Amino acid sequence: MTTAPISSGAELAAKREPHEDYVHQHHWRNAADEAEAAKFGMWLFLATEVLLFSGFFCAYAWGRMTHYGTWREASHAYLDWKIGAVNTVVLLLSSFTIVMAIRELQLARKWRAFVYLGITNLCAIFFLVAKIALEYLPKLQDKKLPGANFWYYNPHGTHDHLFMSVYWISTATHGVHVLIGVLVISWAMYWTARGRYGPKNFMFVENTGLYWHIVDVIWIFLFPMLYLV
Amino acid sequence: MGHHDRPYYASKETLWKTIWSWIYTVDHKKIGVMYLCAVLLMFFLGGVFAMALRAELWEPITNVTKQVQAEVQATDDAGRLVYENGAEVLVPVLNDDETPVLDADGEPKVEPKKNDAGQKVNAEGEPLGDPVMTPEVDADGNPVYEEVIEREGELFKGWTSESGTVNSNNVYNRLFSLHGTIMVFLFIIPAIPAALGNIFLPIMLGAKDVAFPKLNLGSWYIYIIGGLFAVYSLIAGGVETGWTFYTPYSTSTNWGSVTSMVLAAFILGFSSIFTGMNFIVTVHKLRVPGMGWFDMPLFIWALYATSIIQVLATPVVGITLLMLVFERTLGIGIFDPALGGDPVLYQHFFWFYSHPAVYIMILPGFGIVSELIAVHSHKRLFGYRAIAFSSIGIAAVSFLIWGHHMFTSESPSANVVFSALTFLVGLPTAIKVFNWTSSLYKASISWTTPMLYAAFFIFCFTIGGLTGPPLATLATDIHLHDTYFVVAHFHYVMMGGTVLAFLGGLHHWWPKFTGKMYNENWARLASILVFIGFNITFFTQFFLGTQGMPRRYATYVPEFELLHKISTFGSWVLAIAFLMHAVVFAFSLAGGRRAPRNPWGGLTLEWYADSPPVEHNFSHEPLLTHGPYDYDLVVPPGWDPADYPLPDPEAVARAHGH
Amino acid sequence: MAHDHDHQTENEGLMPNLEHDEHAHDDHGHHVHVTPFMPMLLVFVGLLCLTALTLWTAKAEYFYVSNSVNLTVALIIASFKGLLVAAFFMHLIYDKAINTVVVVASMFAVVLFITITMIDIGTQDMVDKTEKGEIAVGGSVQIQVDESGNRQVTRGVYSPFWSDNPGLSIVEQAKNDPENVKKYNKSHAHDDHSGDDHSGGDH
Ligand code: HEM
Ligand SMILES: [Cu+2]
Repeated sequence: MTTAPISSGAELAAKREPHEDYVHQHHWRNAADEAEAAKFGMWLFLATEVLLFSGFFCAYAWGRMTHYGTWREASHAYLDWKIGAVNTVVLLLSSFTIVMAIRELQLARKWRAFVYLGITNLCAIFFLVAKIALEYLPKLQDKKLPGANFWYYNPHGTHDHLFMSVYWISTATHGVHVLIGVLVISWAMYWTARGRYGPKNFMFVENTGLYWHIVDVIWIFLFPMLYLV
Repeated sequence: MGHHDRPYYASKETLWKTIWSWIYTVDHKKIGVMYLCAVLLMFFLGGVFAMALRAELWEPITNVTKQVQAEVQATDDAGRLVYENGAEVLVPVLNDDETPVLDADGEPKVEPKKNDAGQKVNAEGEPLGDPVMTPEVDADGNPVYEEVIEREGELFKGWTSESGTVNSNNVYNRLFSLHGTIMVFLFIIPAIPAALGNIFLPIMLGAKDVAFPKLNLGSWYIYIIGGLFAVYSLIAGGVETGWTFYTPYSTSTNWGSVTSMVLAAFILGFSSIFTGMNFIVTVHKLRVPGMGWFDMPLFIWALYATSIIQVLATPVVGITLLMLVFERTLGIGIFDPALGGDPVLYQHFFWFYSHPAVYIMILPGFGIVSELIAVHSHKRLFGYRAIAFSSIGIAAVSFLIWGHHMFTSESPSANVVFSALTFLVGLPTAIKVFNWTSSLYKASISWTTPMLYAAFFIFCFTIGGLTGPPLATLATDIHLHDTYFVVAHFHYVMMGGTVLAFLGGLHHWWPKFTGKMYNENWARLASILVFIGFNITFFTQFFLGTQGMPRRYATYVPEFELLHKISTFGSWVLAIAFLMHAVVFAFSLAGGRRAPRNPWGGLTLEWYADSPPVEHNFSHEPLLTHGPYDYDLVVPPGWDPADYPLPDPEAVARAHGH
Repeated sequence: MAHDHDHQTENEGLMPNLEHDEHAHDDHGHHVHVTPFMPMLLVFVGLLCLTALTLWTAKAEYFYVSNSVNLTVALIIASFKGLLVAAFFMHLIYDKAINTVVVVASMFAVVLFITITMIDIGTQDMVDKTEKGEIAVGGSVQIQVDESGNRQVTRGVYSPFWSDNPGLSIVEQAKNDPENVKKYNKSHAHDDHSGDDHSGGDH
């Protein structure tokens, strides 16, 4: 664990990284306040994310309560839990790697951080590709679509179309969050490579991590609810 | 740096640079001023709709048309049935041997002439077509009619639009929907926090800016985008759903532009969330050193409580509206009974936000009134902590009582729970009102415009608040739900509460953020007119409601005419009063006296800043030496001690003795 | 300065170590808690194990108690996973308590929202007609595909297998009420409002 930081090559060491000269914004009294505030603000934002998804959870609870039989059968009939399980593991891995990326930044090893962020991003992209290629596209083909557009030849229950509605809108909204995550992590990778982040200034990556974890946590709940009922 | 002695809004070298310095600013004061302009514009727009609503209700139009009750087929003089192509032709019925068939009386039997296809034909052999119908007649030979009474508003009768002819009911529906949507989402929710709060929250905390200045600017632009969506929907046909967008009407109506209006409200939610987040972090992290939680002005406490609701409730309406958009575009069916969905579920989703939202609207008003009363009666507020905690208490309780909007649709057991919980919110609210009134006891009140507004607020808000319990009581609410009683109730709290507090705050801080004084006498006159006009307009509506006048109708039975006329008259008084306020402000901007640093004798930190403040609010970080309402201990900054004898020397002694 | 931090990686414990040398310093003297490696790895492994446990309890035959019990178990495990992520990956246990307060408040709001709404939905059958089965929450519809492949919304279908919703929805019931039909046709003739030909929005 004590390998020298990759960035400590002779000529790199001579060059001063931008993060070493980081100065907090003028309206803060000190850098600690600024960092704590950024994190606190991010947590408030995450609270709004959780509440946003609570709408889907509530719709799910409603469906399961009033259309009990359908809910179970529809899940078994239309969703493949194996895809969901693989995606769960992939998201967990990405959560772990982004934590490690922050650790490396705190220890001023930017290239390691860069690699960890890269793994995170690959996981995110894998998640999206698997979701689209293995789930969305086949479902589009079979017309296992939400609500009024549900048109599958062999429906299993009276309210399959409502289950599919909850499935589509919740996973699609989650998917959009993953996509946003990919963009933000790419941004973080770019600026990590440019040396903007380091022990004095890693709040952006830390907040990206927090965002990424909440995306993961939401999936942790969506997975058993949709795939394993 | 030069900007430390120039007003924050000082113009730059060129006009373009000045404009740029506004659209690209991260200064909370400029953002607040931009919010203020946008919000006032929306208030004007919503107000125009309100005036039109009231004008429509000036007079009911009752069309009584006579409709035939029953119809019989017409006959000609000879008693033959009449058809489109003439009367039937009767021909004798023949036996096989061509002799006529005789009936019982020995007369030849006749039958209508028919062609080979069996259709009745006339003399020329053409088919007769449909029968001709005539009204049934009574014994005297007069037709029997039924009276059909149709009521319609007068004003917008027979308007046409792209989607075809609309009647005045349609126009009225759109107007109240647009009025409600604009007033709620574009005016009242951002009015106090995003405009006045933005300008004064950091200054009152002694901070240079809010915690996240760029997010603050972002929130303004999001507001503008949401506003553009709303204006687009307005032009592209409007909405008829009411501001509540209840399903299944909102999911099934093809009328107007519901989807874009719902998106507008969705977008506006984010602007509100970002303001709330910013304020919470600012309060936690940017208080001037030495300012503890209980040294904060009560306006800050109120904004803090508001922000909590904004952050925790707004996302739910976001997802609700998003699901409504999905409902309309993808037909997901969760709220749509035609697809097995549940409209009552939609109501839960909607009110989980929208009830707390009414506290987003009123809490900042409470905060302003606390400031106004303390400053303009130059007295320590009674029960500082009680007022502060009651704000937080209201915020907490507001999450528990959304079901009181659904007494007619939710289950009886939920009704009972929500009814009981609703009464709880009366407690912290009453604590506030009692504390304000006790603060006024033996105070040396200056009856400035802000103080007048504070007094009007207490009067109107108390009426609005006290009409809440009858609505929270199940038995009475069944009678009052969806009547004008509700309309009067929420206007007494939203307009008589929030709008009056907003106007009071605007006058109170006007000298500070514009650097100009306004004409006190004219403003006082206008404020009294607002008060009178408001009460004429809305007090009548309590009577209308208890007598059964339902809300959201373009017309009414003639019995309600007098009360409606009085109410409409009141709306004219209001309109004139608001215009007067606008003129007073315009004169102040154009040629008002330069405002002193502390015109009213306030003790909170904004009165230590210049009028108008410099770019980062203070040239030096202020030093906190006293609490926000220590009127018995210190002479307000900028005031001559000779003009300001400390009211209670004993208190000073006590304070120094400790 | 980057090299100075290397020694810190050695004394990592599972619990947050508040010792001074666990913290990197910046020039302003503010403390940065360096994320420890080992605890995070353990948490990650723990999360994988819990995922396996979820799958096992949900899929293994002999573990099947009832649909509801199994979903509850799955959700409890999910909550544990969420807790782990929040506490360690998201640093809640190392951070100021205020962040935890935010989480608790938001969880409180979510629970409130869902439970109270469900209390109402679950007790809707206290209304007379619901008790009799004439009204059902959300009504009963089925989407069927006929021979020519057209999708049709059939309503009020009673099927012995899907008997959870024999009735009409409140709105459907109201629309079918002869009294209302009369009033409705008169006063709303202008707005195309009939749910029967509903095809999911205004295409
Ligand atoms: C200028 C004075 C105002 C007048 C004359 C006025 C008048 C009206 C009228 C006639 C209605 C329709 C009642 C009905 O038929 O349902 C209405 C509804 C409403 N007003 Fe006002 N109003 C005024 C100011 C305000 C303000 C300042 C607000 C909010 C800040 C507001 C919020 C609302 C809301 C939320 C509704 C309900 C809309 C709906 O049910 O869809 N009004 N108002
Ligand atoms: Cu309410």
